[in-house]
Amino acid sequence: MDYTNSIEVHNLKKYYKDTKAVDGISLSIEKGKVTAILGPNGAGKTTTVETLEGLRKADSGEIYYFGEKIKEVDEKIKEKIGVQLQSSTFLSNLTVYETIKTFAGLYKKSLDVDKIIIKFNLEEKKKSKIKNLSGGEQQRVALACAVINDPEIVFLDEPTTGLDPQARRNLWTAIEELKKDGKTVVLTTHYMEEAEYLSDKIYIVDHGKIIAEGKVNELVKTINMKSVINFSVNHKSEIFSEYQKNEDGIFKTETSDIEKTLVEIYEKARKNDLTIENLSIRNPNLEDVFLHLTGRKLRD
Amino acid sequence: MKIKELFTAYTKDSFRQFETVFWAIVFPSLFFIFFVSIFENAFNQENDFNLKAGIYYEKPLTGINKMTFESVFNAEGIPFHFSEYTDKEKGIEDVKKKDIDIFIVFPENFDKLNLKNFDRLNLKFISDKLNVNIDNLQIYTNYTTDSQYAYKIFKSITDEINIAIKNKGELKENFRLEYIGTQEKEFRYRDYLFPSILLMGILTISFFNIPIGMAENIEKGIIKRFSVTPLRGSDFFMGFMLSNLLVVVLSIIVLYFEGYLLKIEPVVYSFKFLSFLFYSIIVCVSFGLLIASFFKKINTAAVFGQIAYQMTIFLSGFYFDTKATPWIIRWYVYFNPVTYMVDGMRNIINGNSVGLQNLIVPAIWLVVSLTVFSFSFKRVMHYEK
Repeated sequence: MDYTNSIEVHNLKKYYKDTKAVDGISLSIEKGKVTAILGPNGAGKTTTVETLEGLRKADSGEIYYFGEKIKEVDEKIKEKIGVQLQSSTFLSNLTVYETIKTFAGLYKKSLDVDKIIIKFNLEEKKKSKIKNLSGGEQQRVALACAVINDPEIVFLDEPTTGLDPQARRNLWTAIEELKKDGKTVVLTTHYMEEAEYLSDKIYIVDHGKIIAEGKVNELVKTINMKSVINFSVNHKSEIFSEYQKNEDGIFKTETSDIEKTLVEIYEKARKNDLTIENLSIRNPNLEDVFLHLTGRKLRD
Repeated sequence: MKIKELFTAYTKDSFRQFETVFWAIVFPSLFFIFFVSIFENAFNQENDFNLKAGIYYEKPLTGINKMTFESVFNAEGIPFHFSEYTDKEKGIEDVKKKDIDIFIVFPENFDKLNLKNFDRLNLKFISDKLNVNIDNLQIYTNYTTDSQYAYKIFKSITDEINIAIKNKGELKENFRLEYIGTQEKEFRYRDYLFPSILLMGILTISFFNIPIGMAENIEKGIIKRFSVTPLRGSDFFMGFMLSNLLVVVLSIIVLYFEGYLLKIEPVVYSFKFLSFLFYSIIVCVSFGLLIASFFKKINTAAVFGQIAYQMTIFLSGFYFDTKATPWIIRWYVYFNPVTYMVDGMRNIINGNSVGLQNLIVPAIWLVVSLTVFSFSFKRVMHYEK
């Protein structure tokens, strides 16, 4: 069957007593793309994806997998999806190789374990026990287990939470590899830079509802916010008196045309024989979008 | 195929844990050796009870006196090792030095005594001085416990002789000797202990490895992770349980090997015993599943498992007879299915048949445990529905 969207969800609801964990979410997960579900902790991201993975049963709503409406996530679908859960571990006394091999044995079709180990840069840790791995290495093993069945869709639930910047960057590279391989990736995260860097489409979720969706630049445009340029000069700062200046001597200006404004600043500095120092440009981002939509920061 | 993968994974994980290997396999076998070495010797001490007695005849006995005392000294079952002295002072010295426990001096005129007057003999301990005169028979002891036993036993022998002599000719042996009931086998502590140790190994797996392992699978999200694969709940259960059963089997094999070296009653290799052992394994494993049904956290499963394990083991007649316990505890003993399992195995070892209660009570537990677990497991494996 031909389909554009690997998964489609219509009006999904999941309530726990008085809590509306998922309150009418609709999603379209495009085939071969990375779709991020972004939101603060407790927004309903994990409940949504766990429902799609078959771990939870929706109270109402419709789910379509590969163009077909499904009643439940059965074994046939599970053969075609790969999942990295938010927090799960494996048998701690097994080696990396044994763990991935065990998961390979759970599917009808699986990739070569050694190749997967090389792909996720785990050769050196191949014989190490799971309990002796770092957080980043454990996440890479989890990702390797998630793709060992060569799935069409990969769910990654907050894959980089708790990792150091280097480990996070390594995992991003691995996720980019999945995208290159043509996998459909569903990524939940509360890191806006992760969503910005990795995703083709973003759904921003808050209080169990989708409050915005689209590509990063589309979402940023909707809030009509200007970029901010900060800089300082080595002397004669009065030349730039038209710009706001703070107590530390840093000038600040807002602009919707960064290139034009930068040319103006550098031209003025050249004419007065000044040197521009500490220049920084801050473009509006998803954090601003979230702040604009909800009145609070993403990580509040 | 999936079961095999999980079985392999769980088995490797188990055997790489020190706790599993030690508590399930090493500890029961060490425990068996220690208990047999310590307590079997204690039980056998009575047979080795041997007192050293010295005899000195100031004048050799003759006639009925000689016959009577020679038959006593050479009788089987008398806990004395008699040695005749030729030097009275040497005998007294040996008592002092505790080389012998009792020294009996037959005076010169003893042979002339009428044995019917034997009960009038004045038997006295020697105290600080070893020169207390005794009218006829002189007995020297020291203050050791063995020496006191020796005196009491010798005294009772002389009483027996008195009774025998007094009644001579008056009692007729006009009765018929008849043995009824079954002859009890000689008691050996190792045979008594062997079923307990077997069950100890099995219960270690069922009270600790199974519920804690299951709680660990839940708490660490391993079951959740498997739930998003095409793995069925039954496949997971079989893989997990088979790895635990392998540990049980290895524990039993090690104990049987140890039992073979210790020359355990050969009936333990019989089909009857092995069948009852297999039945006990199934029942014990079901307890583990019952505990796993109620405790989803590692810590609570471990604490409850420890309490239940200790109560089950100590109040089932594992190491001592529980018939004499207070009635409140006795109710637990009757309620405890392990009581019937260990009793059933001991019945087989003693050549008796397994009672109906040995089968029915554990069977009730088996059915209840499996029923409760099946509902609980469905909930766990489906994570949340």
